[in-house]
Formats: sequence, structure tokens, C-alpha cells
Amino acid sequence: MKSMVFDSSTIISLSLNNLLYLLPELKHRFNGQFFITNEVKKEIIDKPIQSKKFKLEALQIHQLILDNTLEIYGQQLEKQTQNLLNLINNLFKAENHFIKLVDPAEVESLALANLLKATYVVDERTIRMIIENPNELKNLFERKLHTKITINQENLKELKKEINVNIIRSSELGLVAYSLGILKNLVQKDHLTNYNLKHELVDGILWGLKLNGCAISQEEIEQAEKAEGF
Amino acid sequence: MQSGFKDHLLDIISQLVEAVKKKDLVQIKELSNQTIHSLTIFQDNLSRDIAVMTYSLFKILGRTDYFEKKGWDKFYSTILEDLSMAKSYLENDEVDQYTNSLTKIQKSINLLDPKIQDALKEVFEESKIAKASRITEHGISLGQAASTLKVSPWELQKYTGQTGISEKGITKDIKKRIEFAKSLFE
Repeated sequence: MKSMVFDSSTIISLSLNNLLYLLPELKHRFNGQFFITNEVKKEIIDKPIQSKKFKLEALQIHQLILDNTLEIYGQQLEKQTQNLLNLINNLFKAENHFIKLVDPAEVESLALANLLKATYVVDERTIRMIIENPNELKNLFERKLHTKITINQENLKELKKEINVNIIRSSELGLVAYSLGILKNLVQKDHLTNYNLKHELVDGILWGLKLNGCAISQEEIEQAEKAEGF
Repeated sequence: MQSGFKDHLLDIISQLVEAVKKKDLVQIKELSNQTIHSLTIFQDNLSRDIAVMTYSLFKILGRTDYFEKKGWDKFYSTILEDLSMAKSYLENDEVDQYTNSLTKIQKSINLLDPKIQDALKEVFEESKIAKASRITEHGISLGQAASTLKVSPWELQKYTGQTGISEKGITKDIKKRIEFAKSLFE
């Protein structure tokens, strides 16, 4: 059965935009499984439920688990996670020191997506760059740190061999929801406005997600809107 | 402790003591920016603590309206005293004492007028998020930055979303990504 694995960052973006309600219908149309890992569950439910600020969001996400929209992957991923974590966090060196790029929870999700040959849904930028364009990430570090970065070529080669996932973000899921008509209640015309509601909806989804942490650029938003015919 | 790394931290804290004495906000801000370099590369507690403290002091000393408040003079002299102590401890590799000295500055907020204590405590929390956002901007992942600065990934993600971080990092043609996403639902 096909599947998607969600990183914390994607669930957080959707939650902060009150778009969690899209997930049950998207899952139904996807006709597959939506997974999160135990570490992701800790970040999006267990920890915030103990705070005041994001407790409500955590409860809403918890409901998605209770109704089986999101499933917690139950098996051990420690070996795969540790292997990838070692490769990634010993990839870039600056001033004779390997830079810790990512944390274990992020890598656990990647390990799961890789294991299941699932689509990896991640809004966070770094891990996407490591998978899709590590040289660009190296260049970013060099520009920001004004320091030469050395790539551990052996680790890079190993990572390219090990990882084979396709990545999407909450922004792409939002556009899928739009194109499937899941958001049609938001484009009902009324006599008070002259807005092109469909364009406003697509613009609102993409900017809303971007402003709550989805790593999509303004240029990409413009291209996406053009691709949707706006 | 690596000598180059220690020298860098000592340099920052020495300059910080002088800048705080003169209430030189421009210099404090510049020092705050300099702390990001070692924080990004090393992500250790020492770099974290001085990064958060420097930015917090920039924010606090920028509130000139607080200078007339009850307890300010004592608070200010405590800052100078504890920063100088932190510098001495760092020189002697007394890392725990260095950390304690910086922690004492935060606790000395309790010397101030109760009406502004909460606002100042909030400054330290916000500084941690601001610094976490800066290292994310440099290329560290959200999760790793949140872990290094001990902040909530929710708070950090909300904060970074408002910055220009995601303007850099296009790795694939979005049209292709959208097409792929849609194909999963056919």
C-alpha cells in the first residue's frame, strides 16, 4: 500500500493555518497510509499538550490519530535513523568541526519514508536540501558563515546511495486539496465582493503556509499560481 | 576547550563588558551577530549562553524607559559584575561557574520593579527564539536549532515563517513538484 510520512514541520504548518481538517479527506483520496513516527508524535502532541500555548493544536492533532487519519509507525527505526544521522551530521565541516545539521526526530521520519518507499512530506528546508541539493546547502553555509565548508564526499556518496525519496511540502498538499475541490466551500461567491475567490484562495493557502514555516519562496508561490492558471 | 574557540568567546565577552559599560547598543548588536558564527558551527552550551545573553542585553539596554524604574541601578551593576565574573571564569576554564554567572544575570531581574519583571523575562525567551532562527537561516534544520537553543519547534517555526529564510533554498522546479503531488491522488 502506498504511503506518506509526515515530518513535524508539515503538521505544524497545517495546524497553525487551521488546515488539519484537510488531512482526512486527502487520505481518503490518496487511498493509502499517512504515517508519523513516535518522535514526531512527541513533538506535535506529547510536549505541546503539556504547555498552554499549543495545547489546543496538540489536541486537534491527537484527534487525527484517534480517527486513524495519521498512524504512528510502531516498529523500531533506531538502526536506520542512527546510520542516517551519522552520515548527515558528519557531512559538512567548518573550522575542522563537523556541523550538526539535523536532529534525530527529523532523521527518523526520513528513515521511515525511505524504508517504506513513501513520499516524504516535509516543510523544513535543511533536510530537503540535503536530499535534493546538498551543494546548494554547502554554498548557503559558506555565504552565511564566510567560511570554507568541506564536504565529506564518502558520506555524501553513501547518502545518495541510501536515500531514495520524493519530497513534497504542505504547500503542494494545499494545492492538491484545492484542485480536488476539498476547499470549495471557501470559494462561494457572494454579492459583496468582486474578488477572484479561487485566486485569493490559492494565494491565501500558499502564503499562509509560508508565513507559518513552510519553506516555500515567493518566487515558487508565483510560479505555482501561474501553474494553476492565475 | 579548544584554544581558538575559547579565545573567540573571551573576545566577545570582553568586548561585551565594555559595550555594556558604555551602553553602546551598536556594539552590543554587532557582538550579538558575531555569536551566530560559533553557535552555528559548534552548537555548544557556552556559545548558546553568550549568544542569548548578548541579544537579550541589546534588547534590555535599548529600553531606556526602564532606566528610571525601581531597582534599575542595582540590576545594571549586577549585570556588569556578573559579566566580568563570567569572563574571569572562562579565562580559567571554570565552565560551570561561567554558566552560573550568566544565569545570575537572568535571576537578577527579580531586583527590578515587579511591573517590568515579566517583560524582561520574556526578553530572554524571545532571544532564544531569535538566535535559533538565525542559525536556521544559516542552514541548520528547524529541529536541530530548536534543540540547541532549547525552544519549542512550534514557536520557532512560527517565528521563522515571518522571516525571509525560505527565499533561499529552491531545490526543484515547483511545477514538477506539484505535478508529482497531484499524481499521487489520481
